Amino acid sequence: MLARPRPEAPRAPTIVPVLCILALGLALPLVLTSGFHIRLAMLVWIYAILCMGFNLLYGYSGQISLGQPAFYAIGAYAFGMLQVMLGWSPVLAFLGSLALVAVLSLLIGLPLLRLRTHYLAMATLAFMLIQNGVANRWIEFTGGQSGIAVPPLQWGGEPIGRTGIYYIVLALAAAVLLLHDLLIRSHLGRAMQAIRDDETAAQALGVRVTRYKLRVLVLSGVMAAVAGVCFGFTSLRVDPSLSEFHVLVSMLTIAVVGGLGTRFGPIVGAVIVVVLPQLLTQFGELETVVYGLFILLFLLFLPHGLAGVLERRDWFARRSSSPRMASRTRELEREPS
Amino acid sequence: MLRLETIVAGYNKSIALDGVSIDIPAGTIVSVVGANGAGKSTIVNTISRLVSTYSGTIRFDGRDITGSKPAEVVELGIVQVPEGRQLFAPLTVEENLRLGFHRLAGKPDSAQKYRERLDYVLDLFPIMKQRIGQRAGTMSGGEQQMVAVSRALMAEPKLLMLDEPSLGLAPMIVDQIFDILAKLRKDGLTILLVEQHADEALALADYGYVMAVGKVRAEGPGNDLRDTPALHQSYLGKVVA
Repeated sequence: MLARPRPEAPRAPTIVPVLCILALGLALPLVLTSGFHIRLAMLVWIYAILCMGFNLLYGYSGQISLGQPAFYAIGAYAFGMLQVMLGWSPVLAFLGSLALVAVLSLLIGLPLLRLRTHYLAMATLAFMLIQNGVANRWIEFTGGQSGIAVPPLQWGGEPIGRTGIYYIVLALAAAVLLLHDLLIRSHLGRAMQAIRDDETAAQALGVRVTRYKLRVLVLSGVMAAVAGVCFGFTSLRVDPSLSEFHVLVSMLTIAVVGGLGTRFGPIVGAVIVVVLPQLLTQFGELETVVYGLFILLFLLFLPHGLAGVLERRDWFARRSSSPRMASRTRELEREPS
Repeated sequence: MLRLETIVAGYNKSIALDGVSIDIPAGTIVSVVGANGAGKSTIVNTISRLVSTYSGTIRFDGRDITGSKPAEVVELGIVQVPEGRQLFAPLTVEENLRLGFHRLAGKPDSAQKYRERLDYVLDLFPIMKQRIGQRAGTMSGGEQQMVAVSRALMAEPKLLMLDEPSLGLAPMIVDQIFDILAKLRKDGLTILLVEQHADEALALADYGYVMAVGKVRAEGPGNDLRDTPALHQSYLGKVVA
């Protein structure tokens, strides 16, 4: 990014780790043989997509929205309903559900983004509860408790196999990951962090705070909808459990374990939150206790999450290698004691 | 260049500026001095449109900007260095400077322009060349103030407003910053300096205002104001004879 090399010029973050993650994702079906493992891998990507949106919104812009599961569910429902009720093709239904969520999040964002911190959290949580209530009770429209069936994706008249579905999920996750990474490293990313750190100072520099917040809210809502659509065509059924508390808790756990406001926190966190419970099944009834213990340890010892560990090492490297420290040391040596 | 005309402004119902008129001619340094709570910071934030006005007008180059949004004011070239610096601590110096460049970021040739501005501020504060990759929050107060001034200069302001730049800094560093302000004036920049350290601020200024409890108590050429009774009164209260 810099025009010419300067002493101590910060290394611009490269795209290499992103490509490594995607290569790993591509190779995964070659290693995983059982359908169950592929299904877990898809779930990792789906949660990663959901949490990348949350990461942009809360981790980078400081706006906490607990309504993400509602956008996730609406995306999934719309994807199914547009196909079943209106006979749209899967691609059209996909685009339609993203557009619907974009409009909805814009309408919700206009009044709600005036709120801050826990007030914003409460208001968005209320939105999730309303959405869940509608999904549960408006039985003629949403199918109530049992939800609605999503037609399987087809290619040339044949339903696409599990591995094919996995690659579709991966492709969408890759798109979201690249966008997530691009945004973080762009001017918009810096403006978002400025809003997070000090709204007034950001405003004083000419950042249009409300406009940026709204853009990020819509974007994170659309990302949640992408995750919802993926869930829809992998599970072939959407029901009200998509916007229940366990989804919200998983999302927040991923944020904490992976690391909020980090480039790869959502992915690292999603891997842990999806895979760890599977590894803990050997503890039988104690599974949730051990899981809880793990989370507690994360909070105590890795408050910046797993991805944050890398960043912190970076922090120390930047500090200790700075000439200021070196010159200060020299000064101290010169000072008569 | 900028003119406040009988501004009444404040926070909710409490009035912090009570009919304040200030004139800042182009190419000069205007200092506003006064004790804590006199309304000095409110002037800066009123011009930035972060504080709402109840009456009066703000004119910039003859244009009424009373109804403008904060971002529009910055776009016109009015940029402040906020009190207490308000750097984005987790971001690097470079990222802070890039945020300062926000005003010019979307324009054509912005990469070229960015380099020009960066070179300009690095010439003013050569020490930052080595600190460019350091996180702003890990720097000393004086260095942070230099970053804050640089961040504002990155926007290529027409009017630079500084709110208590000396806050919490060693006198030597304050002198350094004031020297830079004199240099900036020589480069044609218009500066509004809001300070508690009245003597230094007035010595530097072309014109000064002394404030107390939301009103202008005295005004005049900077050096003339340094010994006026109004100045002492504004800090020490009314002398009871």
